[in-house]
Amino acid sequence: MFLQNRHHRGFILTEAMAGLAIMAIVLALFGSQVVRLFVSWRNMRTDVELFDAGRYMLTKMEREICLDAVQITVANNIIDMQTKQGDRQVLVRYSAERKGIYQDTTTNEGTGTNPLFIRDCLVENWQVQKIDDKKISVKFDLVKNNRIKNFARNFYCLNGVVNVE
Amino acid sequence: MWNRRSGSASLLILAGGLLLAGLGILFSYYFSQNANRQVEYVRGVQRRELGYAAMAELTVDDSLTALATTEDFIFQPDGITAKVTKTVTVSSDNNFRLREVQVASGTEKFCLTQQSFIPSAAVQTRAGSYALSSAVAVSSSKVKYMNGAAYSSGKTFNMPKYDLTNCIEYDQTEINHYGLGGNINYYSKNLTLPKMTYDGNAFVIVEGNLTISNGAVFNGRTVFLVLGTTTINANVRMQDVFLLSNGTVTLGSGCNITGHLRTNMTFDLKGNSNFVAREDAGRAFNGVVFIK
Repeated sequence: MFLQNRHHRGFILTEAMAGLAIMAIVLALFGSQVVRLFVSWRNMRTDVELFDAGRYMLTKMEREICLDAVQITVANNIIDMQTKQGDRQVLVRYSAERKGIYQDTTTNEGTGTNPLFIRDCLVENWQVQKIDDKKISVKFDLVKNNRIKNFARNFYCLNGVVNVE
Repeated sequence: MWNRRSGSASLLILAGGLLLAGLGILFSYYFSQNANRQVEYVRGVQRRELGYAAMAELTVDDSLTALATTEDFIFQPDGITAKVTKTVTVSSDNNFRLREVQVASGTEKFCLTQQSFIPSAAVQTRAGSYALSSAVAVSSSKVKYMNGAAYSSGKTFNMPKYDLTNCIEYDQTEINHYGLGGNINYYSKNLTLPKMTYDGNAFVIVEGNLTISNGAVFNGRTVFLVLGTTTINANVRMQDVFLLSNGTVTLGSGCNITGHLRTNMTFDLKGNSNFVAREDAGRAFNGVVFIK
């Protein structure tokens, strides 16, 4: 009776050992593929985060440059903007030591600084160029976990003009 | 004997297979979500760029009068049709233009608007010739305070008919923080501009009385339409002003004003000031383009 019941429950030790042996063989055969799969997954996740961060940065800059700025001065990769609110000045600059883009906003009440990037996604190769009197070009790379994504966008300054210093 | 057992190693393999299939579905869901976000972003950029380009076309030409057009564009990568509608509305007295652009694709819309003030030819001509102009002549005892500025009297004007639909009523806190805005600043009550430096261009409509505090400095182009009286206190500096006031304009001493001040009443000068006419004082004022 005891033996019969035992046969109807779970695995016997030999079966479990055989199962483990099969899994070990499968892992040995496909192990590198599995590792590669997880690395790919991690890289793709990182890429998604970089794309999200890049889109966020470009969208934030677009609002200031295309609509709010009435006078833009480009000098040493710094964008200096006089905005449509007459006494509000905005400076978009790169900080090499912190590998990020920062926006300094000055009003009659003082100056405040806000990051224009996502903390984990570091910024490299930040470049700003005047294209013509109404357009500027912004280029940068975002880096995370040894993954790099390039971003570039031309902004049309609808309310003002672009100067170079 | 083995086949009769309820447990088998094949269950492990089946579970592993299900796990892998689940992971595959999760992967594809995650990345399709990201692909959708990218497509939405690209479509949004195209919508806005189209809007900017259409508005740039409208603003480049001040002579454009009433207009209403619609054009279709195809967005990439998904081939959605976008409808671009451009309209220009002119006020009944022809002094204001309202330019609007709407880009609609699917359920998404992006609208831009801009207002311009274009004084009549007669007002522009007078503004270019005189620094001061009043309907009622200035008291002869006070003319000396003008320091020989170009002045004329005897002509009234009609206050331009503005439309407040697209105007923003600012409060004093915003002025203290940001100065005056580049789109039309509207005040339904009395307005006092504090002593500070005002940068940038501004268009200000005051339905009450306007008071400009001692020592205020205006560096940009400033256009005022004042339905009540105007008081410009001592030592105010204005580099490029165009002011139309229905009521009396009171001027403190020591002011340096370049541009054109005009009233349907008279000027009350409290002391010596310098007034310089500008040939282009009455030129069109294009407000900034903003998202509606």
